[in-house]
Amino acid sequence: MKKISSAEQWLSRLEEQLNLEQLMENCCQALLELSGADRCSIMVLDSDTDQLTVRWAQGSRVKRKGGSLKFRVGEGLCGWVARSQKAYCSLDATREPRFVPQKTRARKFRQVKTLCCLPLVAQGRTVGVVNLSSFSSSQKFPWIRQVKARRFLDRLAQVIAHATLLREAQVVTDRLRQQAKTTSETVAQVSHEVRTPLALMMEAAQQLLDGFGGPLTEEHQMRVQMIKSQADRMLRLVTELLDISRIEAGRLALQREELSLADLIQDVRSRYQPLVSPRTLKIETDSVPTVYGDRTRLTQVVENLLTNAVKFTPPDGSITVRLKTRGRSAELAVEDTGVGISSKDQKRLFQKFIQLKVPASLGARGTGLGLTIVKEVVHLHEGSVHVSSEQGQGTTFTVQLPLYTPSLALAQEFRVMREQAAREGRALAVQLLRAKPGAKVPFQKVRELLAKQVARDDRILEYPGGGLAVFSVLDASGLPAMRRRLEENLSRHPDGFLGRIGWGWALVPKEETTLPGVLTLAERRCEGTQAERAKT
Amino acid sequence: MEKKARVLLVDDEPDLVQMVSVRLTAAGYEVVPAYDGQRALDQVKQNRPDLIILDLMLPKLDGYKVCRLLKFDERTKTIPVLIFTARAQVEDVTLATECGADAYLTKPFEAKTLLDKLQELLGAGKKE
Repeated sequence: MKKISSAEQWLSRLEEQLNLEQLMENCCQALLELSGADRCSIMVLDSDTDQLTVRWAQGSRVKRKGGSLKFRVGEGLCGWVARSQKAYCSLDATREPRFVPQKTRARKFRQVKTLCCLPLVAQGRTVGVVNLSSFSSSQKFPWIRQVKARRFLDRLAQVIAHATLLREAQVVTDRLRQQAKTTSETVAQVSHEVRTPLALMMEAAQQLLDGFGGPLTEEHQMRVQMIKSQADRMLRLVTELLDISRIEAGRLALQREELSLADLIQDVRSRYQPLVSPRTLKIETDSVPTVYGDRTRLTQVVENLLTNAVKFTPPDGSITVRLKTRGRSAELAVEDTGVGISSKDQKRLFQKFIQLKVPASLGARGTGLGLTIVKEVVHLHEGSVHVSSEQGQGTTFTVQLPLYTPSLALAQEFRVMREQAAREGRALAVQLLRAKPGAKVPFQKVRELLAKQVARDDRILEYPGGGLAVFSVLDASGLPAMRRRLEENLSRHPDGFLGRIGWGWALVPKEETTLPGVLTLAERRCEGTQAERAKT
Repeated sequence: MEKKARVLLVDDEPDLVQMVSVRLTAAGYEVVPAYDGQRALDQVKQNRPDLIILDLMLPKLDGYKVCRLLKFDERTKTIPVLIFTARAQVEDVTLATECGADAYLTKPFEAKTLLDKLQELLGAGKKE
C-alpha cells in the first residue's frame, strides 16, 4: 500500500514538471525507488530517426545526462521492446542473444544480471523504453509485475510524450520567431536605405516648386507636384511596412503611459484639420477616459482612421470623432458620412494590402496597410476594433481600449517584460517601494527621481494602494547592483525619501505566469526592510 | 549685418549635401560640408562651426561616435548637434539622445522644419 501511494505522489510531482531534463531525472528517481533496481535509464524514441537515445541514467555508479548511447528500433533488447511494445525481463542479461554489450563500458555491462526493458507507450505509439537493472544478484523486481506498475508506466509515457511535444513546439516557435526577426531586420534595413533617396527626390521636387530653378509653368508644376506626392506615398508605404514587420516579429515595443485619449485627439485634430477640410470635423467627448497606452502608436491609430475616413467621404460630408466610457473600456469611434463599405469588404478590410475601391472623385490611394496597423496596434493594447457600415450612409470604426487602472498597467507590463526576459534568456526582477506606515511619501516625485536613474528598459509603475513597482530585465547576478543603485538614488535625495520607504524585491521564476505570487513575496520583503529600519 | 552662422553639414550622400546646402545658403547660413565622420571631427577642430548637422550612418566613424566624442570634449561640447537621419525608430532616437545630441530630425524633411530647428538651436546656444 505504501508503495502505491508514493507512486501517486511521484506522478503528481512528475506531471508538474515541464522541463524535459528535470523530468527524466525525476522519473529515474521514481523508478529506482519504486522498483528497488540498482540502476535505471530512460530512453526516448525519436520518431524521425527511429532511434532510441538514453536521456538519463541513474543509480549505482552512474548519474548523468544521456545522449551518447543510441540504439535503432529493433537493435538490442531495448530496440526489440520498443518495436514489440512488450516488456522483457531477463535474469541473466549478458547471456541473452539480443543483448548488445557497449564497448566503451564493457566491464560494467558484463556485470549486469537482471535487465528489465519496459516499453513506454502513449496513444498506441512507443515513446521510449525504461531499463531497470541490477548488478549484484538476479532479482525479479516484483513491483513491475503489479497492475499498478503498468498504470504508472502508462502515465509516465504520457507525461514524457507531452513534455517532448512541448519541447518540439518550443523549437518550432523559436525557429519561426527567429525567421520573423530576420525578416524584420531585412525590412528595417531596406526601409532605411530607401528613405534617403526618397528624401532627395522629394526635396529636389520641392526646390523646383519653391522656384530654386527659376519659374515653372503650370504644366511643369503639375508634374513636379506629382513626383512629390508619389514619392510621399512610397515613403508612407515603406514606413508602414517596417511597422508591420516589427509587429509580426513581436518586436514593436510599446512605450506605455497613463494617457488621456481626449488630449490625444485634440492633438491629432490640430494637425489633421487641413487634410480633412473642406469636410467638417467634429469631436464629441462625453467623458475623458484614460488608457494605458503608447502615445505615438495610438496617435497613429487615430490618424490612420481619419485618413481612411477622408478617403471615403465627399467634400461636403462630415467626420465625427466620438469618445466615451463604456463599462471598463474607453471607446473611440470615427464616423463618416461617406460612401460606406459593403459587408463583403468589411470582412477583409484589416488584411494587409487590401485596398478598397475609392470613388474616382474622392481622395488619393493609400498604402493598404493603414488599417492593418490599426488592428495590430489596438490588439497590442489588449483592445478591439470593429467596423459597421451601410452603403451610401457612411462608416463607423470603433476602437475599444481597457481603461487605465494601476493593476492593469502592472499586469500588462509584467507580461511584456516577462516575454522580453524569456527572449533574452535573462531574469525579471520586481522591486517595490512602499510608504512606511504613517509616513507620507510624494511618490510622483520619487518616480521622477527614479525615472532619470534606472536603465532604459526598466519600467516604473504605480503600485495599487500607494507605492511604486519597478520592473527590470537583468542577469540574476545584477540584482545587488540594482538594489544599490536604487538605494543610493533615494538616499542622495535631500528630502530623505529612503527613511520613509520600505523596499522589497523578488526575482520572477521562469515558469511564473501570474503576478500575485511574486508581488506577495516582494511585499513581505518590503515589510521586512521596514521593520529592520525601524529597529535601527 | 550679423555675421553668418557657420553650419557643418556631415552626410555621405553628396546629392543630399547639395540639396540641403542650397536651402541653408538661401536662408543665410555658411555651409561647410564633410562626407565622413573623421573629416567631420577634423573640420570641427580647424574651423569651429556654430552648429553641426550630423547623419548617423557615416563611413569611417559613425554619427553616434562622432556625437559622443564631441559631447565629451570640453572644447566642443557646447556646439549644438542636430542628428539628421533616415533612421526613424524610437530606439535610434533614444540612442542619439544618450550620445548627447541636442535635436533629432528624420529624413525626408520639410525645409521649414529644418530651418526652424536650426534657429531654435542657435538661439538656445546664444542665451548661454
